[in-house]
Amino acid sequence: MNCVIEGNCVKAFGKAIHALSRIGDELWLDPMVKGLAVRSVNSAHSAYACFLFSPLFFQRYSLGSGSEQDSGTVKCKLVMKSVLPLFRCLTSIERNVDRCQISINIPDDRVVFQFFCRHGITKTYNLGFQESEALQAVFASHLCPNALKAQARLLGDMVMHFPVSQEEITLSMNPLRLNLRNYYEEGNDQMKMMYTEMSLHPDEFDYFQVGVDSDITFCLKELRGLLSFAESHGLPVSVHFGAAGKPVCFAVEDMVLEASVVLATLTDSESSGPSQAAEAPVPTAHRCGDAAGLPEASCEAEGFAAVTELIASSQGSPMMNPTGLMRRLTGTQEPDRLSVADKGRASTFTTPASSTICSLLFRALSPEQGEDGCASLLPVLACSSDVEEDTEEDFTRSPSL
Amino acid sequence: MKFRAKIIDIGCLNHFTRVVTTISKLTKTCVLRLTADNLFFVLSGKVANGGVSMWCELSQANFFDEYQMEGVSAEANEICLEVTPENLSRALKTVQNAKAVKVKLTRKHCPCLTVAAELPTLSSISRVVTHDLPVDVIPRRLWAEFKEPSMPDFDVSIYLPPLKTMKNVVDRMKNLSNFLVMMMTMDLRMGAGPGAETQTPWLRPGSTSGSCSSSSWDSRSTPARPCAISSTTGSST
Repeated sequence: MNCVIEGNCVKAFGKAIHALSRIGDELWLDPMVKGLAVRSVNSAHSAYACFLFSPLFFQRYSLGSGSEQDSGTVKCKLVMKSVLPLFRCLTSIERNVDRCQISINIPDDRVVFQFFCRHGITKTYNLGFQESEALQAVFASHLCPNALKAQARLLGDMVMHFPVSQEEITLSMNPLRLNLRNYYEEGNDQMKMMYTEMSLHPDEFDYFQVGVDSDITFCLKELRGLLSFAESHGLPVSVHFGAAGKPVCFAVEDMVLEASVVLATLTDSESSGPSQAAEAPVPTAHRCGDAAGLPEASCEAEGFAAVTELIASSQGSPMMNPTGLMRRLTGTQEPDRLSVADKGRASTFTTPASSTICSLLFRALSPEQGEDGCASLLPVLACSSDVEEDTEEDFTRSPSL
Repeated sequence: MKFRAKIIDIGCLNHFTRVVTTISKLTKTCVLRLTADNLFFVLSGKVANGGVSMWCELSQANFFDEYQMEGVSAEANEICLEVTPENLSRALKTVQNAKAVKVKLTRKHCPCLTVAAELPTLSSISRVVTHDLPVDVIPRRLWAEFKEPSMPDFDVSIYLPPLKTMKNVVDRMKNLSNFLVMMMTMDLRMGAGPGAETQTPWLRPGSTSGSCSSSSWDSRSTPARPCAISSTTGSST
């Protein structure tokens, strides 16, 4: 893959990298015919972001890096810490950089970033990459009952009232108002924290659709990067979500790029059905990793074996690092020891919170998944896109520079 | 105990926010005393050990359009609260363009100072933002600590030069030492570091607009002597 970004677009690309750095520690580059997709996911798999730059964004965009043995484009995984410093100071990029060339050098396992700057200076960075399967999630926005569209400025004004350190916020939507309030986990500090709440009228939004009244709680920190990107480009942001527990998707698009951030939301334990008692302890068993939990864990591991091929970081373990989101799910219930029978039942009908979030974004498309009872029973909230497009690609190889 | 107040004027809101922000830079918590006519922000620190002590009186009529206060009881018609000025400052800063800001004492999960603002929007219906700041109510038996401090008998009274000029100098002296020496003769000298007492004068009342006056001694015959040593860290807020 070889592409050249010119002028102001370098700054836009840098801003996208900044937004992605808020999400995860690794960056996936996926050159495709329809454009270059740059993605990231957080370690708990509860947040995912994707920026897709169409070929029109680039001054020149060509796939194929000249190496004959590869059947298709190479999908790379880079460490965020090595990419972010290249784009750290956006004002100096705007002033000094004329164009930026990104190419993938397969024999050396390097992604090469070359910045052609003023005064004839060229800066070349060779970053090592790991070849990786595509990381991708497709979120069925059109199936979401609730949808909002607002100018980025409005959303920026909304989140401005919350301190930068605020982790999670709760968004409540009903036909009359939209409410935002900050959210703190159960804890002894709760009494001393400052609570902020704001409420807006539907008229303030460009588009306001309420299918189901819902309260969703998600991580604000991970969203701020996209909001800042949208504000700097003056793009409207569309928000799609459903009931608590289903993921929420924030998306922006314009002629040459599309960006989306998908965040997991807290399952609202009060509103779930009678299987609550069986449901809640299961995540606890996972989290504590105690012996009683292992049989369940290994079942899930098989179910996710295909998933783990997609995401190198989730090596067979259904466990994720408990984030604030996860802890909330178990906080109100007492972590009892479960009998194996209970766990078996729980996995079939209820959706244990940890596995809900795990299956939230990704599902393998490998055929063996259907054979495994566990995996097929877990709800899939967002599917990976088809891999067909990879095999359909037919491109001529151009010599690399 | 009841407290409700409303600010409508943007200038007043701005001014009040600046006062609270200044206080938030001095201390993490302070006492807010509410009386029928005034608000006091009090911090009783230990001045002898280089601590900061502060007593700030604001006339409520200068800021609030509406003000209702009912104290603990009829004889003690006051409310004393321990607040975190930083929270209050943050709450006020985000609503600087509000149409109206109401501050009230409420009880949510704990006693709270609620700042509720109505923000203007393009549509006819305004946006409402509410901040709940937890506060502690201070019992009557401790109120004696927060009375107005009495001013000690002073030897010298000084009209200072413009604070901006002083701030510039003090900021630079912060790098030299933790303590600042101020001396008065016919001009004002400030120095920091070893040998500060003999530093050359840097400010003269004639060239700036400061002057000095003395209530008890003849300034021409008295030699220069250090009259104040203050810590550089607290003084430049």
